Amino acid sequence: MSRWRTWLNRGDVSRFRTWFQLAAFALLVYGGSAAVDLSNNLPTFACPFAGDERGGTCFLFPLQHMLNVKLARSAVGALIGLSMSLLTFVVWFAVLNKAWCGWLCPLGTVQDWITRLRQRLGVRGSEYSEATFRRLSAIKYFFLLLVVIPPLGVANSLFGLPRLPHDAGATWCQLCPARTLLPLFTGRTSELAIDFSTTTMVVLSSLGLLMLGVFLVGSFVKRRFFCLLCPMSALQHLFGRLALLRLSKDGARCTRCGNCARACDIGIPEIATDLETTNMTTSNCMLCLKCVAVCPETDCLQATFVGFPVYRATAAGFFARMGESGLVAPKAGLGNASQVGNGEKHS
Amino acid sequence: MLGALLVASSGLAERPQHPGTGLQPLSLSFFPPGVTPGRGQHGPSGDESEHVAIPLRRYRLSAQDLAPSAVASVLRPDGTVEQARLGADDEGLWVEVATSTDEPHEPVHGANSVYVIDQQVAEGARVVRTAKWVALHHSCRWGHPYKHEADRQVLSGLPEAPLDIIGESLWDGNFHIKTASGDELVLQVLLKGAPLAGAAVTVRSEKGWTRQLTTDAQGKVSVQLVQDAYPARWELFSRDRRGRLLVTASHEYEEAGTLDGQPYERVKLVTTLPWRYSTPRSAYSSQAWGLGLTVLTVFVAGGGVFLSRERRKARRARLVAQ
Repeated sequence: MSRWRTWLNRGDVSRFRTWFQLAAFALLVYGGSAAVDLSNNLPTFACPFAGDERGGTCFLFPLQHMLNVKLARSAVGALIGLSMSLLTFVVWFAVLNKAWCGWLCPLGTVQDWITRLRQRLGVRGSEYSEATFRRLSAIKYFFLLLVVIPPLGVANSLFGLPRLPHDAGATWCQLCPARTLLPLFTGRTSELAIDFSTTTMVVLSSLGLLMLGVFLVGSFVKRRFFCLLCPMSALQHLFGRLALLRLSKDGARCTRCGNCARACDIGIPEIATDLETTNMTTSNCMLCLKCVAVCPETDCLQATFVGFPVYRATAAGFFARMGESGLVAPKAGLGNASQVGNGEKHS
Repeated sequence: MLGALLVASSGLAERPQHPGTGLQPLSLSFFPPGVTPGRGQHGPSGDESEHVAIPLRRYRLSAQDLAPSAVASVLRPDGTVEQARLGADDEGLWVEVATSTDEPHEPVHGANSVYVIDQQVAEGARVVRTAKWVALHHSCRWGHPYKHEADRQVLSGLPEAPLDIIGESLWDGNFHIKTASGDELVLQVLLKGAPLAGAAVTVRSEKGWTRQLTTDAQGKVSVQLVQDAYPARWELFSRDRRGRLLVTASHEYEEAGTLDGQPYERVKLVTTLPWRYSTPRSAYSSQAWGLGLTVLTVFVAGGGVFLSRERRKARRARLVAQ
């Protein structure tokens, strides 16, 4: 057992994740062709617009559908339906927590592919300042409101305001880059169009394509650009306490070398600076475990499932991985290890 | 008066008479006579919604001259056949189908085919008129766990129906009617459950567009539907508009016998199936504009990033020079 664990801790989690992401992409985008249907309530962007080839459906789609009900007439029925769907969502989420984002999300995988393309082209990436990071990470909660409020406003008069047009029932889906991008992988180009049928659809489909353009450029210059803005991430965070898989940190073992923060695709500063918190699975974290892989301090960072460590930072593992990649070990102190992490320079 | 009532109830003008008998083909309609489909009556298009599990569906018959022996039945998705109720009110004849919305949904969840079969002797011929309606009994509240179970959308023929019309691939995986104007509609005609070659099939739209076809060896016909949604003004355009068409299949053969004491020398079978078609998405969306907007956004956003980096680089160079 200990030999197996040593082997695991010395392993290259990033390489394993790359292959896992590929398999998950195939499952969620094409799994339906092999009669795979994981559920309609997945905590990840398995986009229904990609067609019946998909292996499951993003929860945000049925959520909007279920919120589009007249509360005065069928609140109880809607609540029962919503509770059942939410329960499925929470069960799926609780098992893997934010690893849905880092390991399974098809849109996240596409972002990683775009990043690799940029690295191949030799274009340098961007990083946010801490202030920008905080400002941007609040946007996901605004987008979550866009998931919830418009469908309610279609069927009900909210705050005495007139009801929204029927086409606003799935406002978020119209804006989501997954709707325009993922169907391309199943040969559907129809979502790359402006819908002129109603004024609402002209506005929403145009905004959706604007979002796609911003997504493509953003993902090209910044790793996991969209994850910081993702409403699914915000929704997941509401149930974060129930998650079984976690990223834990022992602040007493941390030397603040900063490897973890530099390796982090999202760029979460707390992973290096916070020495107090033990559960480091924040709303922005996607549990890619790159931070664990680049941590040279034994047991400082670890991924645990129901408290049981599944992947731990070890000095031996760190040096084994650094040896493989030809990189050198960092000195203690923030900012001394520019070579460690993702191996690229940033502006 | 009765003629006007029939035309209004079907919405399909100039209904042809069955040749040589004076009897009109029998058809079913979701709307009572004089009711014009409009938004918000039953579904987004005012038509029978395929996403609302209606516990009691009533369909109007186009003709009032049914024989007392006329029967109505419904073929459930699980293959069972139940009797439906025929009745009449001030607006004419109707057939009523009660379908459970309680758990378990399995026996009724999917395509339910309603049949009204009328037989009578006219001008020496036994005329068997069948009116068919296909209703999808489904509720979004039940979820869509059957996404990959195409069985729920497979239509089989009623064994008792002398002449039956089966539509192919009528719904998408999400239980929406996918027939759109301009699409190819494939239909199969069955005679007592077996494919019938050489049957005459007429497809007629509400605007009078008509195609006359003959079934092939597999009893199939394929017809490209007319693209007829051209509103005079753009503001009149409705994406949810449903066009209506009526498929009529007929077949005749020599057979002598008696029905209710009346002799006949030949048998004439005629069956109708009303169907709906929507406006294709290509009629109201533009990929050229969509791609143009995306490319423009990429150039503007990409250019912004490039300029910002260049400015920062120049500032850094100035600082180094100082």
